Amino acid sequence: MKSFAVAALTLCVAVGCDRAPAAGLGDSPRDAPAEAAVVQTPVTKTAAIEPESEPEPEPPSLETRAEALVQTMEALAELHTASAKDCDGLATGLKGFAAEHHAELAAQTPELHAWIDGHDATRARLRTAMGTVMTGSITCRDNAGVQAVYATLTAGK
Amino acid sequence: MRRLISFADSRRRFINPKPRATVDPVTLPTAFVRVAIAASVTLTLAAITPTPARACGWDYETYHAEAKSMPCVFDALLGYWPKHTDAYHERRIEAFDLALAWMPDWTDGLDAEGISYLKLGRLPDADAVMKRRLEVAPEAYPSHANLGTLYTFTGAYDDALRHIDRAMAIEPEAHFGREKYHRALVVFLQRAKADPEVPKTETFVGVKPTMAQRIRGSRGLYARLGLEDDAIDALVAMLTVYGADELAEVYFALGELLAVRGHKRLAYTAYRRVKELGHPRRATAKRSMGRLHTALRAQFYKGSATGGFRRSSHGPREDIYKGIGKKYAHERGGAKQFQRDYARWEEAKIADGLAVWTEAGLDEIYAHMHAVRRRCKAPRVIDDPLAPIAGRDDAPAETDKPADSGDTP
Repeated sequence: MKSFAVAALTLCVAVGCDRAPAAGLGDSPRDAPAEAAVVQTPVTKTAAIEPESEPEPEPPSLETRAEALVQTMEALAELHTASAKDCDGLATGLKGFAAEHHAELAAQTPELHAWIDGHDATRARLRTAMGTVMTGSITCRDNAGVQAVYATLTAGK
Repeated sequence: MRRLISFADSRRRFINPKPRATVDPVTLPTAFVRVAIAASVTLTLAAITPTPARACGWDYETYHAEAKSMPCVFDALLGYWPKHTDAYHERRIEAFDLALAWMPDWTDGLDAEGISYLKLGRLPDADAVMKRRLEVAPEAYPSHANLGTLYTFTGAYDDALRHIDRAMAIEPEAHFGREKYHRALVVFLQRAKADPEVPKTETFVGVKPTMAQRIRGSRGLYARLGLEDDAIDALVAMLTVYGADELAEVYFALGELLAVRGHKRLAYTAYRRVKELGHPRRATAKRSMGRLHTALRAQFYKGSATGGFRRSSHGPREDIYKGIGKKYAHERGGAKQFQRDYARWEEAKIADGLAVWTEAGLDEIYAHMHAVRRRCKAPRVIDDPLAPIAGRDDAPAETDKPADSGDTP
């Protein structure tokens, strides 16, 4: 809304517009004299309408978060595939992966998984990815490094 | 490996910090008490043995198990169907523990673990995982279906019905619309718990045939009694997919359905299992077997000038109709050997690293199941023309002749 108002003001300034913004698009009533004065004053847009602080960005939707999580798990699956015959390599890779994605993994919520649960295509992709993860991790389940990564993942839970 | 086990345990604590407290009815010793309660229904029903609960539920394998094929009815009755080994479920739990370490709320993982714990008889673990699943997705079908199943086998029928009803409201066509039979079984068990007379006079599928109807069954009679072929599929699935293979009530209901539909040999086989498992109506089953034997013998000798006996110039008259009883005993032994052979195959595959958590792994298992014993096309397994049927070679055409009179059931 604010960016629209900025554009409208900029346009007004540029073309010498003498009308107030349409009702519903601005913050003030159409006939407010102060607002009209502002419009007619050749001020920079920054000085006129820039808020003092940036608005909080809207949190990403569950769909967006689910897509991100699935992509992360697909990357984890690729890591397992790439290290299929190298358990030490897998251990190193998992350690780095867990550190890199720590925040994202920690941010998982039941609502996110409920959303995935209700969307077959996303759910199927996640199942496929986790199938590869399980296969790779089970193959290396006796590797001390792999065990250490999993122990870290579940510590405190 | 030990560390893997220990962090798996820690994850379980995370899933439900106080599983023992919240699972009160099914802590391990109590679980067996509960199964023992069910077993008292069993002595009433003489059905549920105090072995680890084996039950129906929903996980990624369920559709695989139901959608393409199922054991044929004869095989289901005798035990010619592969049963997953403990090794299978233990390996599944091990694998899904790893996956859940990355995503503790992953619903598919929770479903798989819940079902495997249930089938291993680890009821507190099953309860904890399934409740966690419910917390994550309280409006999802599997959340309720699996708890409904768990509570069916722990004897908490009120809770079971609450979850089954919720599951059916969410997904009426799950299990191909056969969940109504699961519900009917729970209602029946609940009523039997309150009134021991119920299992002596009723079945959970609502059929109460007369003795004449048992002997002169036909497809027409089956339809006239308002019975659906789906019921037979549902009961076969209960025995072979959901683990109710020791529940005598299912065999009795199946025997009644098969008899009324005109499948004398299959009905005989079902009644024989009923008798073995000690159902309260085993005397009825025994009488039915006798009458079916007589009817089958009469069919065998139909048109015989000797009235059913071979005349020999060198000895006494000989009855060459051997009956179905010997075949049953022979086949039952074969089925037990079949189960042992399958278990050896599956355990070897697990040891060899078969990824049972993948579609490819399941495909290999089900291809083997089909290779070692032909399975019937689902649904309508009863109508599969190639299904093995006891004594098929000497089976006369099963007519559509209606039953006209009846004895007491």
